[in-house]
Amino acid sequence: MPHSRPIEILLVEDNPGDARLTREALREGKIRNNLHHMKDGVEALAFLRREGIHANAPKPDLMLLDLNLPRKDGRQVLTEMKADARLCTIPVVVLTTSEAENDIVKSYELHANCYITKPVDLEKFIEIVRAIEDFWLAVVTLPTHQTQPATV
Amino acid sequence: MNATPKRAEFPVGPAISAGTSDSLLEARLAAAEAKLADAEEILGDALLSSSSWIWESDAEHCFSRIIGPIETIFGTKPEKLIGKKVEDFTRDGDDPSTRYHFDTIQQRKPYRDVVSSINTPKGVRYVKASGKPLYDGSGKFLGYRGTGCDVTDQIQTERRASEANRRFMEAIENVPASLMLCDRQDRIVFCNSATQRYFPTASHLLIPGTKYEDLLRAHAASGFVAEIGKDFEGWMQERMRSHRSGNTNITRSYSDGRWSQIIERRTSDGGVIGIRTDITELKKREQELERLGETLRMNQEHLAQAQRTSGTGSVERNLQTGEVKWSDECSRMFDSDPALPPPNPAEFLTLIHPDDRAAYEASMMASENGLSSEPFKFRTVHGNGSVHWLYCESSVKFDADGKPWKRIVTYRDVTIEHESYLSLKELAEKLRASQEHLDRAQRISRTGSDERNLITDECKWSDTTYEIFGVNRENFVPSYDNFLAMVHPGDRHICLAMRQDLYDGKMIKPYEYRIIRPDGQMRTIYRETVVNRDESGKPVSYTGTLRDVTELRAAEESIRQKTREIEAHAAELQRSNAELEQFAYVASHDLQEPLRMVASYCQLLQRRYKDKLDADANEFIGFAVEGANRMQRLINDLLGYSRTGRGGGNPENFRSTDALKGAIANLQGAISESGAKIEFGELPMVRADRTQITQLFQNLIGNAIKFRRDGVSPLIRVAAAAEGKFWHFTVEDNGIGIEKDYLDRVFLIFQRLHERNKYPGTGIGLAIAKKVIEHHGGRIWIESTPGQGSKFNFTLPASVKTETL
Repeated sequence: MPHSRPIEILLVEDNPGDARLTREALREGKIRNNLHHMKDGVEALAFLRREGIHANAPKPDLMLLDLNLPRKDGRQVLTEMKADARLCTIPVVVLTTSEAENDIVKSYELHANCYITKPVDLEKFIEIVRAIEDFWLAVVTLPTHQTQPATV
Repeated sequence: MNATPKRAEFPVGPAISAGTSDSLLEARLAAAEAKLADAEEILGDALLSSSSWIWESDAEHCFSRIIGPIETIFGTKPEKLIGKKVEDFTRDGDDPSTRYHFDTIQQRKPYRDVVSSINTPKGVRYVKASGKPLYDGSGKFLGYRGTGCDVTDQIQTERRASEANRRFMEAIENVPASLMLCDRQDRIVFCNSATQRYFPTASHLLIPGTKYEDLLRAHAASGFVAEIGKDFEGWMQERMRSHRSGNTNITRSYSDGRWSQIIERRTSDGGVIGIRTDITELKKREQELERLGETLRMNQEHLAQAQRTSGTGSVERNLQTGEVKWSDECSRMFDSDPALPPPNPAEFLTLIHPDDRAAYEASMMASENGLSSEPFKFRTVHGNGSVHWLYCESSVKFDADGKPWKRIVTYRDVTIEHESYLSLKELAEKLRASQEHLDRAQRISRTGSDERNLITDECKWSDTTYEIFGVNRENFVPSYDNFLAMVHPGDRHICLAMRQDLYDGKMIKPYEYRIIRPDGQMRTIYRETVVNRDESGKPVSYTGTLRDVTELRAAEESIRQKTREIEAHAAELQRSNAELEQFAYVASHDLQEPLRMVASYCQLLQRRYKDKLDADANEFIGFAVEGANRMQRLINDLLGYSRTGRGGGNPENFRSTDALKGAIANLQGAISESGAKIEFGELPMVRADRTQITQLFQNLIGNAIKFRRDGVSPLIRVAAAAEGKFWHFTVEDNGIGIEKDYLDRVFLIFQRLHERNKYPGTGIGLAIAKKVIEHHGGRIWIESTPGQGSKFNFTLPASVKTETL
């Protein structure tokens, strides 16, 4: 489904290597996107809530969330987001290295939309990112009318 | 009586002078003399019939003349008396009347009716004489003239009467009864002195002339007479009526506790004679007799009841008359009717058991002869054939002469006792045996017992108790004080508190205390107490068991020490497991990230710069990527292994077939690729973590498929058989098998027996399988023949509710 505007993707990832890989994988994809990279949970929430320097931040169409983050980790970010009526509709893809069942279960309990373990193999990683792109940004119908601040 | 020459001296007739005419005178004299003789004869005859005589005495008081039947009366001729004095005949002169008489005649006084006794040939006679002195014209004393009369019979009659009267009066005086005679005017004529005892309050009125009614009134009013009641006048009237009727026969009681019987009768002259007799003793005896009779009656009742209650009968046999008395109970005991007369000895013998008759007869024979016999037992047979044992005791009573009088035999039915005696003997034997067992058991278990009577403070210790305390029965008295002295001073308060609880009626829980034995050893005693209480709950005794638990407590302490160590180890293990877990997590996440960086960027390099690098560079990058990938697999497997069985999983009852089917589904790719065939029947219910068991089957079957022989389709058989509380599972394949030397190594983590190219994998599968089984408390092992196949064996606990296939 072609978009008239670039898709806004919020990537919350403390590892710059992973962030770069994700960016590279998305660059190889077909979909035009604006990737916003936040390095910890606090910054991510500030972005979502348009606080401070993020006052003009767009509302993301998709959020890629790592679980192990400095300051506030991914679980807390999920919890706060899903408790916030303005943010709870944003699809969240948990993208992490952890295969721990605990983390998986906990993430779904916190209403993550899907859980993906980062593969070591680059080809596989690229495939996954493309799959995310395809599924969430092309297949799924998102609440596009809410891209503008709801408070306006 | 003949005329005497002295007759002329008596002035009997007129004196005749000789101067007158002789013939006339003579004639006249003869006539006078004849008349005189005639008169004298008439007088003599008259005197004869009256036993009297006439006498004259001279001045010397000698008899001068006696006319009358002297000889008839005294047996003495009158002539023999002439010239003799009266004193010559009188008895000794002791008679006061005789002495008085002599004085009288000495004074020449007349006397009259003087009685004196004289000795005569006919014996002592009583004479009554009268006399007057005689004087002549000139006043000369001539003597006495008088009369005499024999009054012997009269005197003797009088004397006898007087004596009889005296004796009568004396007799009356001497009787203990009171005699009272009243005349027809009801005045007292006479009463004997005993009467005073019956009228002690009115004795001053006991004089002749007192009206009886006055006496009675004074007597009754004094309060001496009991039972008069309130109506005094009524009582008086009634009593006087009875008195006058002369028909009284009453019993009277007095205030001094005495009793009398009063009998009154009318006399022929219209008076009343009353006789009062003291019947106090009689009354007392009567009352005593009544009391004795009552006591006897009660005793008999009590005896009968006692016999009934105690099942005792008695027989009394009078050995002299042969009379026999049976008590009712005795009749019942011999199955006889109490209403029938007791059986005679021969009949009685038939009531006794034939075997016991001789002994019974011998015993009875002995008592017939007055010998006491020992108590003995014999049997009696009742009409219904039942045999009863009777205990028999006999005693013999003797009469005043010392002859056997009565034999008293008592019988007691001791059938039950006799039977109990037999079972008691048996019980005693059993008891002795159990006592021996107990003693042995006590010795072996080092458990003693004691028993204390709290009333007498008497205490018994078993042999083992003495052994535990290290003292001897011979020189140690197990009093409470002696016991307490052996208790460790630090533990005495425990024992004393328990003793107090015991008296307070509290439950005594088992408790322990230490003792110090005479040899200085300290021992720990475990004690349990059972208290016996009376109806009111007051403790009367207790029994206790004591066990020397010194070694046990030491062993327990050592076990506790070991347990603490094990617990410490377990805690340490848990901690290290947690650390391992943490490590695994860190490995899975933190180690993977740099690894991923290495691999990803190597690949990105290859991807972006493939054309700009030479073949060597590309190969080097290939190795780097390959190594990173392999390392990631190892890390993930390690993580999986460390997670396996953590926290014991989630045990549930489920059918193991389901887990197997789950594993097969997971392995579907490998199965279809290899053409493996898996055979299994219905597998049992187990209690385990379902996910882990699925993993187990998956690993084992995956393993079997992986290590298949070239060209041979894998055939895998899964089966199970019961083995106690476990199921023994087997997973058998037809694969390459394992060399014997490596059988143990296959379960070690990351152990590989083959080169990586042929059989890929980290070698974690069987290590995880082993860990799963061990977490479920089972065992896992392999039997294998290289080149033919392997057989994996493992056990799992059966479900709680055991179920067969």
